[in-house]
Amino acid sequence: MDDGCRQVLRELQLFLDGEGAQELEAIIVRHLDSCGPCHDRVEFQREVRTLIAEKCTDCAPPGLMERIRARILHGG
Amino acid sequence: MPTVRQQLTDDERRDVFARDALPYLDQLYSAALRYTRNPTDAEDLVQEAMAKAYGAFHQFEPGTNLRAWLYRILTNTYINSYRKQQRRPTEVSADTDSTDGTGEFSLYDRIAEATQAPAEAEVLRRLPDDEVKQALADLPDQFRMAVYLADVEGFSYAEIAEIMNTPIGTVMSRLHRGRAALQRALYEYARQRGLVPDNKGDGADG
Repeated sequence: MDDGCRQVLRELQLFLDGEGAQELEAIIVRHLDSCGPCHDRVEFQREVRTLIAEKCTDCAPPGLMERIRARILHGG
Repeated sequence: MPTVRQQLTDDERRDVFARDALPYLDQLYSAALRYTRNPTDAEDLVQEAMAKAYGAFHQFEPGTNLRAWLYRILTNTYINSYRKQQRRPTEVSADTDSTDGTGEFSLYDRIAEATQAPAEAEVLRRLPDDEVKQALADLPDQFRMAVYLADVEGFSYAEIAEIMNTPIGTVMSRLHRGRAALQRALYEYARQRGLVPDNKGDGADG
């Protein structure tokens, strides 16, 4: 693990959230291109987020839309 | 602040709200369910938030972020009227990951260690949805909400700060700790299901 790896670890959240400065992002992308272990680690975290997003989504129960239309929009 | 909305007639307001705000119902319900952790409260919360949003729709500035505005109303409504009444069963502390702030829990390293190979998120994909939801549900309110808003809804730090009415630094810290606690819980579920080898035993934290 070199300084580049340590920087990736330190800035992982900022980077994955797309909230880092452009220069930081460029530095990390360059490091990931040449560092397999860091690349794996970042991809893993990215996939975990995708998975949480997929598994923690629900649809409104049937009828809720109609109830809201009736009660709120039409004061029923 | 200038708004066009104030000039809308009641009929127009209803049409614009139905066209622009109601399509977010599924998303808002999903958030409400993560917040309240039960379907009855979630439905009540969404209805109350939608009623408030409709009542305050003249204050919404056209062209700004309607989705974030709706989430802000939903979140405030939850914090002000629901959170206090809710029983809070088994919340894990989002603080448990380390005692010194350096030995932080790393799901990636834990799985890699257990499987003797680079960790694959695919392993976690085999967890039932209910267990992933439960892992999120077990996080304390502020962490659960921040993680949900970021990871499921994809809001930016600035948007979450606005929605939760909190500084960006606080959002970042809640995300950091909340995600670590969530990953720790996911690891436990995966271990219990035998998705990762159970070769660490209990008490191997740290």
